[in-house]
Amino acid sequence: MNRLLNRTLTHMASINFTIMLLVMFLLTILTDTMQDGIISFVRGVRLPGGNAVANWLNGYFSAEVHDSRWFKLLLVLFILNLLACMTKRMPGTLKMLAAPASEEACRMPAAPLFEDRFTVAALRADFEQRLYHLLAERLSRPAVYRTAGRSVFFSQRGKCFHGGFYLAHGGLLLVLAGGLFGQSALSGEMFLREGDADDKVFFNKNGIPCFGKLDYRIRLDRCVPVDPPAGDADSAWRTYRSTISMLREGTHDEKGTLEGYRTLAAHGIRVGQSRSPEKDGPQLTLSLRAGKAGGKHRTFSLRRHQCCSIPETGNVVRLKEVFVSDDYPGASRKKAGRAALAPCAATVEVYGDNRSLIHKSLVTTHPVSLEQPGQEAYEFRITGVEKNDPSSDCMRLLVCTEPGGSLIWIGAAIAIAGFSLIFLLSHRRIRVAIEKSGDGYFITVAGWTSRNPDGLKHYAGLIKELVRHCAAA
Amino acid sequence: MNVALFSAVSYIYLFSSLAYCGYFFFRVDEVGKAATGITAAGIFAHTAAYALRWFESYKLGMGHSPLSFFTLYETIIFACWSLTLMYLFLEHLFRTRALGIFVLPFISLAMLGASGSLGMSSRIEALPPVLKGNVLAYHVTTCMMSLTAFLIACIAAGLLLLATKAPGNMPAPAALSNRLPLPQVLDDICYKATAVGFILFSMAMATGAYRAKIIWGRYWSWDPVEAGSLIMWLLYALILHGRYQRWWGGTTGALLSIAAFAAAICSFLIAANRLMTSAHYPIQ
Repeated sequence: MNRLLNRTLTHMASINFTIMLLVMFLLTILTDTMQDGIISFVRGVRLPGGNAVANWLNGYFSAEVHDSRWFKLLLVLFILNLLACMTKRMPGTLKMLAAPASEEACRMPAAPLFEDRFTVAALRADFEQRLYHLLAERLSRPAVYRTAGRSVFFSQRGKCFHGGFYLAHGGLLLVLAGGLFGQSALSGEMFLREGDADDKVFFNKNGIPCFGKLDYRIRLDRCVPVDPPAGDADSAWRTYRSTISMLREGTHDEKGTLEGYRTLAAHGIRVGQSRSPEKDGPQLTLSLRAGKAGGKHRTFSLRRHQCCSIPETGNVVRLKEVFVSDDYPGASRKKAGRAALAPCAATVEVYGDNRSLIHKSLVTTHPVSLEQPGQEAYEFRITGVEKNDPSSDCMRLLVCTEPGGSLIWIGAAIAIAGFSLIFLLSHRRIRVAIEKSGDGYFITVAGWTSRNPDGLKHYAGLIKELVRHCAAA
Repeated sequence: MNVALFSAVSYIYLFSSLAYCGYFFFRVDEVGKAATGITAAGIFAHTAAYALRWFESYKLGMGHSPLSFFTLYETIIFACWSLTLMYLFLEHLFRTRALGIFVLPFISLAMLGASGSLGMSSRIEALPPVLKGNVLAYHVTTCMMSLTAFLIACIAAGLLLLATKAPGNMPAPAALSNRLPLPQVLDDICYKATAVGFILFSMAMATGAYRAKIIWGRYWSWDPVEAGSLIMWLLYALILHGRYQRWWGGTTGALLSIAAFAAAICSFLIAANRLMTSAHYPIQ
């Protein structure tokens, strides 16, 4: 079992596996980015069957590659690779797996910068002790591994390099873990007018409109335009400053300001705003009848994007879009469709118990009934239209939660610190292996460094001479 | 005022290029020292011009750092500043002036082009709201500095190829290879510049993701620029891993460095909305 685990770990932690993964990532992302170019190239060369290939590619790329299962598998393999190469370096793991030979291998790259071997007929009685002290004095106290007929002394200077390795790979793992947590992030929008407060955030989940509820309500206190910067008369740069309040039960309201693209982060959510407010539509008075057999008749007064809940069923009704006949002559008529026959029309969405859309329909001044098997039946009708104040605008707030955000930032900072330690700090390793041969001993001195290879060759040559001197009986 | 100073800096760099050419061909140490001195004076004046431009932007009421790179002019002058600084550091570290003839003319031409020859606007422009904020300044600064480090790695890689092999697998002419640093030194310059660039580029990606979260609400949205940057990061990670394992180094490593720099240029062009449409471009 240990052997199997050791072999799996060795393969997963190998640099060959890392490089294979890096190449696969590279090709995948390159193909994903260049897909349009590739498809038009295939069509453009006009080879026989080129169109069929282009159509197949078009179909294949219609789904995002980075959302595909095999790309996720690649990510999982990458995480395993990072975990394995970190675990493999821990002496505890190696002892547990009883794999001293692997430990030697992982401590020195496959092709050391310096490697030289000499033979001695006999060793001094205290050779190993003297070698230990020599390496301890020159580099650091060596680690010693002994197997039958072979002893290895391993010493290194600049242990921060190892720390850098752990930090860089551990940091990348944290970034990936943060990204994994981020998959459950909620990212949606809410539409508010000055003075309005709401806790519902609307978003699409797998193409189905849904809403989520925040732990507190957000109120838009004020939304005012900010003048373009001095020296630039271009009003295209005009931005808006919105003041919002977070209304938390039992605590005081927290205020914050959004300006232009600047967002606000508080209590695990980040709030941003659209570039400019949207023109408000007329206010509709919506008559609603819920349930099949003469349900209760209720009347709601709703504006565009406003919601109301129906106490009997617990469902939420949202007025999505509003069309008034005066507003859509000509080109807009097509957009309104059959609503053009009525003086006004609106699209209404009904969200069920699980907060996802169950009904969506265009309603007019004539009663429209919404029925769906297994769902509550509704009958909608517009009973009145009130004109709003023309200056009334509706601001779209972009709300998203940030699970894993801290992990990503901490991970990125740790990884960068690790890269700096790896690449900017000098590090030297020396390995002395003593092997018994038929009529004497082979002593191999190998060395590796992260910087100044010429200096290392000189240094390792010196160590070799000192080892030869120590060994001489 | 700052534009006049930048123009003066381009002429200083032009003189230092001439001095580096003189040193390369005639091997007179005094000329080499003079070239380094002129370049050092140039970088000093360049930094002063930068500070002046910053100060003038506040006087105009726009108050933003010239590191925001809203205009091509600011991008070029920062790239030249960072390239000169990095070159001087490497010259000091490796005690070789041979790279100067390849780097300084490039810098002086770019500066001269930006300072009028290419009809580029050098006016201090107001920043659009999307480009405001300190994180953006860190992002673009680290990004440009990493690109200049990769450029130096690419130049060193090109020279390494020249020093080891001339076109058509012929040995390099002695006149050239005698004047270039040893291939090992060029290889080391290439490695060190790549390593420094990799660290800076990782910083640029982290600050970019932070900025994207603030503006777009997502760290990563697979925008062409983000994908291009990731490709670049993976390529350089691949180069550094392979080098650690000693799979490549020398000629292969040099060819890979040149290929990776080509990817970096593509990524930069996408970011500037030249190759593909990207939400990265602030005017989108």
